Amino acid sequence: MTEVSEKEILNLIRFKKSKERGFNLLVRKYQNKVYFLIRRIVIRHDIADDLTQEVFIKIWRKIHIFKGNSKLFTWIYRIAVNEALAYLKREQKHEITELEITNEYPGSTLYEDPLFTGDEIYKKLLQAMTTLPPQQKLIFNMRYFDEMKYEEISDVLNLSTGALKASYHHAVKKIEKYINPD
Amino acid sequence: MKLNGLRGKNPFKTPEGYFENLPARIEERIKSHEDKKSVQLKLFQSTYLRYAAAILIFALIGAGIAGIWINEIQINEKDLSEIHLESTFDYTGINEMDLLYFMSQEEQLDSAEIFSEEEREKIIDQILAENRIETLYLEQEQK
Repeated sequence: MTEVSEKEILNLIRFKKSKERGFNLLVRKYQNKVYFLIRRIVIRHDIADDLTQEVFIKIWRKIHIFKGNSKLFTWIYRIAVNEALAYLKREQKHEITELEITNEYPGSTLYEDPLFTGDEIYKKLLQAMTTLPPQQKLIFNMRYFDEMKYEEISDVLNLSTGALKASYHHAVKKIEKYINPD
Repeated sequence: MKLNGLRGKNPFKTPEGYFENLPARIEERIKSHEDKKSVQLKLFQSTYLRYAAAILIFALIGAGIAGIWINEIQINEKDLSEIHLESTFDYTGINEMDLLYFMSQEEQLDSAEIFSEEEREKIIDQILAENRIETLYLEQEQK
């Protein structure tokens, strides 16, 4: 099956008769990227699944206001990032109490996750990521795992490339220090 | 350890068939939400409900106006009742005796309780002096 373009999807979505078909193609095209962006942040599959669905429901409701001033991908990513950030903010409050009670890192759930295939170093990397502030975590995620260009991240987060480079650099330093404390 | 070795790799997997089923699950959620919304919309669009809503709105507005009106009356009455009698005398220059002049005899007796014993006797004497028949009746009784 040939990959359908953004333009074709938007043309289908524009008309009531073909909106559902267009939306179905949109979900199929971007579901992997959206899901894994969120998954690497929230770690757990059930949460990533729920948030991914929320992202696409929002897209369905708001697609009529998309004017094409940016790429469709950028717009979708922005919604996903906002959803993930909102979750992190909610979770941050929850984690504080959880940390106080159990003294465990949130990334420790990876040890029981059958859907995690990474090795020990990977686990440590993801645990280190949980220590980053929400926005820095997102920047690191997009740059490191999705290998997005700074210009693309800049479009999504509405931040200058200079600020993004500095933030990413700090994130890398923090993570390296976490993995190799000596 | 440097981070370069892990870059771009994905350590997570999903349950089998996850991405095949995800679009259908999302569409299902959208549909169930829209069904709920359309039921709410249909309910509101029904003629009876629209009439009921209109009546309710008018009733609420009416009750609101009536409430404000009653409240105003109560406030006015309360204001008047809270004005101290003495301050009225000071302000108007009228004294108790002037007030008694304007009161009927029954009212004078009724209001006697609010006066001191001495004032009360004064009032009774005045009434008796003005009502010779009453006095005669009392004199006859004493005989």
